Amino acid sequence: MTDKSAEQSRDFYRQDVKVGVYVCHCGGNISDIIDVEDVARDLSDYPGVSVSRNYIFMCSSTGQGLVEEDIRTKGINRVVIAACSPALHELTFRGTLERAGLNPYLYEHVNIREQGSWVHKSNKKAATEKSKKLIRAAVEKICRQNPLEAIRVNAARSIAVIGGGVAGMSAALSLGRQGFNVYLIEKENRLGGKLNSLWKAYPSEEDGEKTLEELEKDISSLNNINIYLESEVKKIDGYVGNFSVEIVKKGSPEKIKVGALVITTGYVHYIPFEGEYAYKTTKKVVTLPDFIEMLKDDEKNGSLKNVKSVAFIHCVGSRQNPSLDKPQKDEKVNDYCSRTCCTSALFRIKQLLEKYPDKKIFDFYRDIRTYGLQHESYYEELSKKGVLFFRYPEDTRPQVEVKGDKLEVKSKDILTWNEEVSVEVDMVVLLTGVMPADISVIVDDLKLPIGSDRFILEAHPKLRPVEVPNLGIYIGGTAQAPMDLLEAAYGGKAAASKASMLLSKGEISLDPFVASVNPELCDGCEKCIGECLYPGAIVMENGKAKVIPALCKGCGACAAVCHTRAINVAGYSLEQIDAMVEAISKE
Amino acid sequence: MAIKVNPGLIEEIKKYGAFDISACFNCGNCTAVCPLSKEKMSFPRKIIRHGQLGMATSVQSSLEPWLCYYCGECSDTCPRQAEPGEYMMSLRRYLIAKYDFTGISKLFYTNKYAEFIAIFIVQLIVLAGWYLLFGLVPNIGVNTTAATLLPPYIIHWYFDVPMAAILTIFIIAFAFNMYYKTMLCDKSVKVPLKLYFTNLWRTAFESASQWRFSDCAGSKTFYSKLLKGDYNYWIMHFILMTSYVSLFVGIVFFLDWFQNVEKYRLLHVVLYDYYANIGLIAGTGYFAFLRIKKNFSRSKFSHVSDWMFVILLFLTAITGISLHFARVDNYSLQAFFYIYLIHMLVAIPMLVVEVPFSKWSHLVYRPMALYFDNLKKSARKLK
Repeated sequence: MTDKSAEQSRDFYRQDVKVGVYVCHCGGNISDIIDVEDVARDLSDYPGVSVSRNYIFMCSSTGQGLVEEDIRTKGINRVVIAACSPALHELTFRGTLERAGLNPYLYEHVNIREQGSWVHKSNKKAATEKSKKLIRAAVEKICRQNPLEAIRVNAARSIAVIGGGVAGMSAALSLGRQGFNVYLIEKENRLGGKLNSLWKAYPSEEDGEKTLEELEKDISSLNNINIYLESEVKKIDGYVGNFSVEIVKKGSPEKIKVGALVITTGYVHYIPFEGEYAYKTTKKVVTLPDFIEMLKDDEKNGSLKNVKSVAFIHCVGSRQNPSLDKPQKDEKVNDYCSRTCCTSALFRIKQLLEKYPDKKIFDFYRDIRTYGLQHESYYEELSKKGVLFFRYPEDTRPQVEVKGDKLEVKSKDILTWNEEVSVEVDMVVLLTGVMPADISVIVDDLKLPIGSDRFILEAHPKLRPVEVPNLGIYIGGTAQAPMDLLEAAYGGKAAASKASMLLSKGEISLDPFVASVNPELCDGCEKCIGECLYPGAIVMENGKAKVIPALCKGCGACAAVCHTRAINVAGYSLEQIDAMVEAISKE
Repeated sequence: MAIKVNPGLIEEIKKYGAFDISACFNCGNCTAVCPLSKEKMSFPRKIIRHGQLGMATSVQSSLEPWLCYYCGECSDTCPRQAEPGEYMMSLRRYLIAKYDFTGISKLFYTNKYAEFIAIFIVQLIVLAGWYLLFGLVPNIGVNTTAATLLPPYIIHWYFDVPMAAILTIFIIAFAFNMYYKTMLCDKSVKVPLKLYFTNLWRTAFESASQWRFSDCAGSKTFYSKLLKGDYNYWIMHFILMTSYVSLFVGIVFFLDWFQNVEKYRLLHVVLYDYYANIGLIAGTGYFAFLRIKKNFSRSKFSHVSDWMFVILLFLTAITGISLHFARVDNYSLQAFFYIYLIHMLVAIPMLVVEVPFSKWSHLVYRPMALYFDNLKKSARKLK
């Protein structure tokens, strides 16, 4: 666990500290408000500072060149850059230091744009003074900074894909083709998940069975994909590069070691409560999955021949309202949109009408959300074919009543100026939404973040769409959000590519900002373990606390509760924090 | 009371021409762009929805279709190409069929051949009458003149008067039916008797000038409309209508005087020889041209009844003019005899079939709808 660049770097523990301070104008973003020249001049006299400059764009190659030049010629061995948010350019300047032969962690980034010029536009003087204080604190901190080394952990070139639906199969296939050792874990006795019941699916109208067969053929052609059918995950522990997964396969337990996890556990259908839209009180009220089965059956037996009219009700179990709808076990209603039901329903109606053009179809919707490419054409085509649409207001629900051998659907209709309309039909199809499958074992063991709608929450919806904050765990498919077949396949492949990027080198480098315990000061009170958010990151060894670096996220919760001040977070030591506070509070 | 949905109605209306209206998703663009739609009398969206839901009573009691002049703005801006303008046109056909309790209009509109057969039957009747009165070969003696060969009073009493009587009876009956459906059945507003008189002059002016047509045009000011040709349709329609009405009145009610060129010669020449004849030929030519070119929404879809209307009117005009020349220039009594027969074989079926049962009935229903709408508006103001 050593870093070559750290060995070769020009800094030594006992050498004189020479800090270089660089104040960026950000092309006016900062310098229009903050007097950057004054700031640079002020810092040049500060103890420990050898060079203090200001420049229009520090991130430009010339700006970075200034830093490199000072390191080489003036012996600068600590760098403070006062500029934008570190989220934007911290990595840029670490690279600058590394190129000049300095340990990249001997650098502190001060945000005087988001936390300075942008928020203090009305008070330029105070903004300038604030910047000076922040930079002084950074100088104090970096003077007390030791060179750090990135943590390297060995990673197994194997991956567990949990859930063998279309997302999981896509992920497994893509990882398998890249040569990883893949464990594909599926609780049913066949791969495919919901693909097994989709029958002819939009948009290509290809039979789900056929898609599944092709995927299965491709997967079975690769002998580095191990398929675990009728298997369930019982326990997961370990950390990135070294996860251990306990599986029960057909009743017998088994343990596998993997470097990363791909979670594609999918969804379950919303099941209406008894009496919800007359569900279960009559067999003529069915759900969308039931209706798909009926269509499938009709192809062979013509079983829908005598159904002359059908009403479809959208948003059953989706976009619910606590004052109108019954909650789930967790006391919450499903207030999200299930996304796929609109297109799926319209597509199924189209299938029905293609065989029976004379059937009368009534569609009760809240909004038609046919969001996909060309999905809107189903809506348009069905309108033209005479399907009658009704839009019910969000604060009402259509009512279904059994009237002899018919069903009566009553609803307010926005398109008819909120008048109540009623239709008599032979059958009602409830367009039931989706809910994430129950994966509480995995969620608890891995401390996965769960959104308010019970789906797994990604780290960032746009920038990190298939990641969670914990490294080495990737998500895909409908475990994350309602999505259709194509999107689930994309999600699986995206998760696979993230996992392969992580594991392709055989080792993983992690930020060195982790906690460490000084055993001499530790009295073994275990308060830190109680406070730690990351299971297994602190363990007790010979009566003393010990940090497992690969699991630690450097949050500092343990350091805060340690009454003997035995715990320090690298890069944020107690000494450094004390010095910063002092520098800021000094007048 | 919940509205009971009946998907059959829209299918029935579609038989009158509105093939695309199911595509409507009720966005309301059509009503927003319609230059004639008003808050209290808004169309076409509302009546489209009523049609889709199958609210037959409400559709049959509506005046809106008659207040639309089919400028085509709605169809041009419809995001679903549902052709709302054509729907309004089809509703007019549907309403004509509904006001007509005999079922004849419905047959004409929904059966491709019915109108042709009806015209043929009337022709046979005319031919039979002609045969009984004058024979099929002219009996020309030395002293025979046009007036003695085919005396106007015989034509008047044996052809014009019976035909006018038939037309009048049907039209009054249908018009009363319209009054019943649109006024008596509408309980939302009660019209005091006085308003029936005070609104007469206004309706008369609006009907005669067809003032609403002027609102249909696209651009803003009078001159820019005139120069851009936005008024062309209105002007041509006005000329055609006045030509037709003046000839109809002259021939049906004052045939004797009509055929006596010497009396009021100047009026005769200016009104009939020039204005009416040119108006009929140019008008029918113009509308036929538009229907062939299909550049505008309102001329894009042509029902059999639309063509029948234009073609019969054109033929009537041509044979009428030929007849006039044959009589005035006295060239051949033989020719005069046959041209007159042909003219009668075109004009009488046209009037009997088209006026009460087909497109020409709008000559009656449109002014009535304007009148009723004005009545309702004034009655609402009184409240």
